[in-house]
Amino acid sequence: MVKFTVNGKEHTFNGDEEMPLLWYLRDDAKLTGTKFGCGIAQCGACTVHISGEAQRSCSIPMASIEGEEITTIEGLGDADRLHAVQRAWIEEDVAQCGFCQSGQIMAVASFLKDYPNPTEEDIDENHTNLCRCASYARMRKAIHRAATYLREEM
Amino acid sequence: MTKLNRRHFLQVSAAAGALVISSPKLSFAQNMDEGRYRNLDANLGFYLKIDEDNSITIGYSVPDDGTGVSTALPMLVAEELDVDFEKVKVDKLPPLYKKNDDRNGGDPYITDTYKGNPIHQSTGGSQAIRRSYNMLRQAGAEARALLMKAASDQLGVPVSDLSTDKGNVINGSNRLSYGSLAQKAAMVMLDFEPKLKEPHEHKIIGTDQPQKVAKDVALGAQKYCMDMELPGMLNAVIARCPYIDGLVKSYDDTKALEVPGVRHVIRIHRIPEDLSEQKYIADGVAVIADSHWAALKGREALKMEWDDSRWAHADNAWIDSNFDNLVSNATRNVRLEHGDFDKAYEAADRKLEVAYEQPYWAHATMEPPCGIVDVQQNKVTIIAGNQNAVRVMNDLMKVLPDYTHDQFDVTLMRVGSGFGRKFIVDAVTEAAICSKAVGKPVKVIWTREDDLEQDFYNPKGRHIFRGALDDDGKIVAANYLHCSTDNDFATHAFPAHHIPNYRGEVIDSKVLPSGPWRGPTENVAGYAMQSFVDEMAHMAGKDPLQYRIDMFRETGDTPHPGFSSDFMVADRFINVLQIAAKNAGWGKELPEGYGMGVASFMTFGGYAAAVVEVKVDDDGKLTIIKASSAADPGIAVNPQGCRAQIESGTLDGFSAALGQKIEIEGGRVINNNFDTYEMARISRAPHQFSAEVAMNTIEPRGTGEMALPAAIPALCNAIYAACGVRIRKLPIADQLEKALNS
Repeated sequence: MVKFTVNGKEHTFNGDEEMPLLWYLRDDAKLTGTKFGCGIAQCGACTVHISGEAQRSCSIPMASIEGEEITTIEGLGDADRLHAVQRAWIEEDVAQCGFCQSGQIMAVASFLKDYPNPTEEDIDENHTNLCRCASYARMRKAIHRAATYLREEM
Repeated sequence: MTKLNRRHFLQVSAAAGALVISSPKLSFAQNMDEGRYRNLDANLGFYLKIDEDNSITIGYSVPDDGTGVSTALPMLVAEELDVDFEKVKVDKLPPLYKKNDDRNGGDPYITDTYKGNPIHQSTGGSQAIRRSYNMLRQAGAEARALLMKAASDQLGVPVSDLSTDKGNVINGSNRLSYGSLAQKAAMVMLDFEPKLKEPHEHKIIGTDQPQKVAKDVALGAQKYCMDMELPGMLNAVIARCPYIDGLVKSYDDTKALEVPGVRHVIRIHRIPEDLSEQKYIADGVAVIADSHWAALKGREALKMEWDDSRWAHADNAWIDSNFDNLVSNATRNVRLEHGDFDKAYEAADRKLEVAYEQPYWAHATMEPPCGIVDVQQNKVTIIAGNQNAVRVMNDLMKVLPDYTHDQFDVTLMRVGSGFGRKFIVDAVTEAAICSKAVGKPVKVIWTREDDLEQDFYNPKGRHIFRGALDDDGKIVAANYLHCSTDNDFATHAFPAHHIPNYRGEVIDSKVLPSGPWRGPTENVAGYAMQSFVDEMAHMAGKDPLQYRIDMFRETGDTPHPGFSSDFMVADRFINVLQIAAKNAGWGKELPEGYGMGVASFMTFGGYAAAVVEVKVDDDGKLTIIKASSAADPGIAVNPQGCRAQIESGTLDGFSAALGQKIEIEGGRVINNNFDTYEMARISRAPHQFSAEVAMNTIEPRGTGEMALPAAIPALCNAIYAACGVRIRKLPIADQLEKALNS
């Protein structure tokens, strides 16, 4: 049995511990904001936070999350209390099809903790999620905007 | 309580105190029960509902795959209705489907027309805006007219004394809200023809509007097909033959059936059976389980033996040699010819013979193909994320021949990107086959490997040019041989009509299954033709920007064979070129190793130009410094959305040009995930970007595909300007490193 929390709530899991966290979140916990994109930790559509760090949940087996605190896009902010990255994403109108954007937002929320005032080069080197619609021009602006909001919150 | 004005195609009715206008004139509204149209005979492509509480809902059935039509189409209605667009709610409808469209009949893209205006239910071919522009505005205008007529009756004043503003009918100091008039408006007869606004009167069309779904997406609340479930649903993962036109030779499912959660293993037969026809459904074996994970493990446990005999010889080198052979020996279809190419070419002194190539590109839609189907005795429930509403039904009726269109209940979700791939309903068809076999709802999710192995690729192609300059440095003769897909798109593009002696020819070539991919054929014709023009400009010693502008000025408007425009208008081309050039600072002094390239192209009736600035280091490292793209789609319904598409088209073009290439070995695709199929991340997006929409009052064209065909050659031309290396074969990959370090 594996015990962990998702968005602050306690969860236990008794199934196949080889199963990636992604499929637990989507199919068992019904948290479908976390998306499947590649299954090999290359695209980042499945990004969640594990104890605050961005991780690609398609490649995290259930066996490895004992005692961990998981945050998904559903737990990052809510409609009345958006996370700074979500606010910036809406204001810059980043999303096109939108499918990858939960993962993008989760990755950026984690990235900005390490780089609160990122340069373009910091973004290039560290933000590696794939957006097939190539919404990168607006994403760049939204990352800087979110960084400003987060600095103001501090 | 319903009265129908038969002069109008839009059905008007009152439902629960609301004014409802729907199209076409079918009995929808009077059955409406608090908007629960899904349970009714909801044969409509569009509706508009104004409630007593002043809320306004616009429903439409055109899917949105990220190009923003779910925001832009309601803007068209809201404009003529004269309401506050921020307050308009949008709703997604099931497809409109009429009996005469069953199976083989009818245009799959249109199910009804009124006065020549199609009720359009498809996104793709950059047609959603173009083909909805008049119909949706008419609907809004009619609703507004009905509300004004109701107000006129109530106040006892002529309609000519009334005006409207943000959801109110106004007469002097009287303001009557649409909601208060809704019930009356549903019962009045119009005695005048509503007049559409002139472009200069637009208050909503032409304003920047954020995507209506932006917040749901940011919260992770937006649902896609992959996120949906039906009660009692099983999950299927399919082992599809990875070999081109291969078949299942034999299989052993013993171990698969031992995997906990696996319920069934069934055979999926290739569609069509005839191996000489392009595959639609791959031959394979489906593992159907309680969960997607169990089905995946079940598939891993299958023992498959494939018959790969048909194309086992096919690999990258064989396909290249096949092209050599075709170019030398195959019959050429002359698609466009004027003047006398052979004579003019023979007579000229300065000549260029050059070939460009592009590989197969995959769609790699962010949401891989997916479908959910429940085949019951008298009903088929479908949840899909496809680009064409009607095609979902058409294609499913082929594998479910005992069902008629009215037994299908289709829910079309927001599409997790399409790019042409989601016209094809293969995953949904597979779900239908599985559901029919096991008697339960089944969801099919493709893995990324499935997606890249079984795609309908953008075709590989070769473009061979022979060109000659006259004494003034103008292109006097050109012969373009396009060896790839046999259509008119490439051979008629700019500058075919600007060259006095021209012959455009096509040879059809096909190995892998292929299908539409953002700007079909234009996407690569742009690269080839605009690289060729650039080479000719350099040979002539002319500025590549001015060279193009001069060609447009000299020739003026030229004919164009359909594809959303009968003419190429020279001034519109010149305008986008000048906008892009201005934003890029064309002609400014650049440091050593820097270069700028320009290109322009027309796609589906829209004009685009791109100027790209790059830096190429001595060791060949390429940095895209700035992209400046401009497009003229006619009226930009939502300029903010148009700019998003220009940005996306440009960067998508860069992504394809820089790294994308499907690799074939032993008759199968071998780079089947994002570790080996290279798509651009944010690091390849230039830090400086300018996307500008040329504003005018010409009837609109869609922007989804417009920017890409110019972006790729502008990048390649910039590379040449920076370092003298001409990109004659895509992808760019490590060509610069190799060329500059040798």
